[in-house]
Amino acid sequence: MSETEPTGQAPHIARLPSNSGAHNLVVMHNVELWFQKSPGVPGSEHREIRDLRYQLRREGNIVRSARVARDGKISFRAPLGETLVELLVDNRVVASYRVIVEEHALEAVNTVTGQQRRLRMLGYHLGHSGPSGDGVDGSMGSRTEQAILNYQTDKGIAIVGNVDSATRNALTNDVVT
Amino acid sequence: MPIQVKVYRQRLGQETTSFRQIIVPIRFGRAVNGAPVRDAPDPDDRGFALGSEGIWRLTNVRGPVVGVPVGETIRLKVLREDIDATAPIFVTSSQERVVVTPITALGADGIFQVRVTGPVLVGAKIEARLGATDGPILGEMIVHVMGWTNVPVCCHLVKLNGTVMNDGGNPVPAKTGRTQSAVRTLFDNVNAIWLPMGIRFNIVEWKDTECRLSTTHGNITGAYQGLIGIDNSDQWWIQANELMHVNRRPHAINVYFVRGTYDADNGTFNTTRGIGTSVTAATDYGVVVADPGDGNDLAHELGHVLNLDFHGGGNIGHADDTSTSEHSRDNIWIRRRLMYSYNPYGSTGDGTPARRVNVGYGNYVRGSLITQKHLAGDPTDGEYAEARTHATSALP
Repeated sequence: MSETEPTGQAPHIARLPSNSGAHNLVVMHNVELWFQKSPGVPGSEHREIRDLRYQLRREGNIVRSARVARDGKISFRAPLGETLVELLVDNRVVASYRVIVEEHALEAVNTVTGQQRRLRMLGYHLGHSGPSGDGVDGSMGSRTEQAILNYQTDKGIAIVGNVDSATRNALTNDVVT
Repeated sequence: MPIQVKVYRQRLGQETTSFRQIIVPIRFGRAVNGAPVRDAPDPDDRGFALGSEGIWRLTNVRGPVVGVPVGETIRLKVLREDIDATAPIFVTSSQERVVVTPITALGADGIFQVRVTGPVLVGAKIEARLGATDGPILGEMIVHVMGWTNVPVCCHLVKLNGTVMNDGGNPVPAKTGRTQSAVRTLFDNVNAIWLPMGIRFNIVEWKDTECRLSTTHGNITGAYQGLIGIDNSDQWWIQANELMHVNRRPHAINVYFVRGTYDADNGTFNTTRGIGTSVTAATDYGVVVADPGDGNDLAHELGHVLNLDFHGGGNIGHADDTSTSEHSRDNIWIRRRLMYSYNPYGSTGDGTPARRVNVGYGNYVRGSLITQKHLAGDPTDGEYAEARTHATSALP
């Protein structure tokens, strides 16, 4: 296992170009991704995918090559914007994820989009509709309904199919790290 | 093409909230779309918890469950939900008697075969792996292996109340229009649906049953005498019940094929296409099926004989559900299940009100899932265990 990226705890990186009189502040954010065999909050029931090898690529450069942690987690620090997570088999890239860090409020949990966003954060599949191709499209389609039912089942809350207050509360709490 | 993953942070004043992002690359599903097929069962993938049924709940496996009788070969599919379409995925089995093919990487369609060659230890599972047969496990499902239980069936081709006349004064047949060949085809469909339970309905006898019902119910006279009277009163089943006492073969499920049913209250024909009564009932158990009934209808009624109730015990699942609501529990889970409540809202082919016309089998195709899991909060779940308890070659 090689680890080429520093893992210091500094909250941000500031650099001052020689030809500039101003500070150029690059804020670095902690990013945590969990690879799991099934959706839901990590840390229980053997959901984690182990032994995945991956590399991080930013602006075309490989900044880390490593193996996921025992809990299936990849942690790294990234600026707002895009980082590529590439899964490796025999040092060959076989799958990749374009990880985009955004800083803004989540859509309200009482909206379909907000519910879809949280279900996706927890790993539930919604299909590939919507602008990001992740099923978050603001429409209560059959895949979203199926995901709600699966989530309610896994949480052991009443399987009512629609997003009631218990489901809203659970979704709100479960997505926060 | 990379999968896009958005990671969110939310800043409120000085406080920053980070949100988790979980990636589940694959899931398992039916190998085919459309009507039930014998070798392409519907895995019970409701949630990833296993509920209280089966010894497998004691294992560390989480995910869907598929039933396969010993000696059978089925097809399943890996769906690449959150991983590149070209990612090399291999499927392996945790036990020798569960044989998986191909041993090479799956094709673009993700389909693979599972053949069960003998009894297995509890917790047999199929694993989808990345890159090689010993690669990281991306997903897993339980293979629930069981032996076959053969259930004897006696088929009655019924002629009811003699020749009747239709409204135009023309004679119409009082006998079912089904032939033995057609009924055999119907049971092929039924046995395809029941295969994941390891239950096989075997026709052991044919009877040409002719009778004249003594009970009257509704306006079953004149042109309607060849039909079983059905209406919405508390006694709607009374004529079917009388028929199920006629010419019975003991220690078998007696299935009576009739020309049709008539609801005198509403003046409608064949809105009820089948009636099934449980082996646990005080009266004679059995099935009555109208000519328009299909394999799904018959499989459903046979479920009642094996003491399976409608999902939710006969109640429509959601307390707020009405004929115009869109609660998913009714649309997705109830209607995907073989034992869903057909009434009062009509079939999945009914586009009005706005119900899901596709519950996982394709547009306007009814589901046929019989549940393996026993999930909390559903008194009619755990259908595998219930049906197997009552499916026996030594019926009363």
